[in-house]
Amino acid sequence: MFERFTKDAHETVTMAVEEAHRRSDARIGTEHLLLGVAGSGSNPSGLDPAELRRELDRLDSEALEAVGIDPSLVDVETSRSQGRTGKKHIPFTRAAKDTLTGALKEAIGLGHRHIGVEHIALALSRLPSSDRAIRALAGRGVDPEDLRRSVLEAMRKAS
Amino acid sequence: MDELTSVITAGDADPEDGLQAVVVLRRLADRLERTHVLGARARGWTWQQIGDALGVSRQAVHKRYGR
Repeated sequence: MFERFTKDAHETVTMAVEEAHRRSDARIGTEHLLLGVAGSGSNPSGLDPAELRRELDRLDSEALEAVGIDPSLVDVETSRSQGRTGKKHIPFTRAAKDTLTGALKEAIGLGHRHIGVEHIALALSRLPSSDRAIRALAGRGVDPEDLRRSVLEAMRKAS
Repeated sequence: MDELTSVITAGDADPEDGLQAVVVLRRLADRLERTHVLGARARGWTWQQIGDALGVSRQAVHKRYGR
């Protein structure tokens, strides 16, 4: 499947991997793919990666609160720096894998021969509201449907 | 004590949040472990002593932090 990825799409996946390392996460999830899309050269999402990162930190604080831990006692931002070391292989979550497969389906559906960052973004927009990437979007006041629309719009302009 | 109890009994939290809270705390524990394992090494502790203190094998600590 990866051989049909454009340079931008490859970059998106590479950035997702780097993002997982940077956040000391043990899996590459949909939230990292979303950050990869926002950090890619063409960024069809129009989202600011720095704001998305802050949003993920906020979700972490919310999670602590939900189990009764005062997030001010745990520095979420510090907790993730230097947690894990080295460039060891990090596996993809099931949802992240399905998103990449979904990107292929989006490309086929649009009659495109190659899978671009836009198709990854479109696949992300189909994730359920409980997904971390979608929750991060929601925190930025962006609806998955808004993402879908802006990506399709960006594609129309580019063609 | 009350606070600790509330953490343990917060089983009614959304699993999404509950499991993510575990991830955040594990990340914090990893960071804390790293800081103090390296600190202990700098003060001349053996891998065996560190392993015993952490309740893991000497090999496990060495594999993670040795070079």
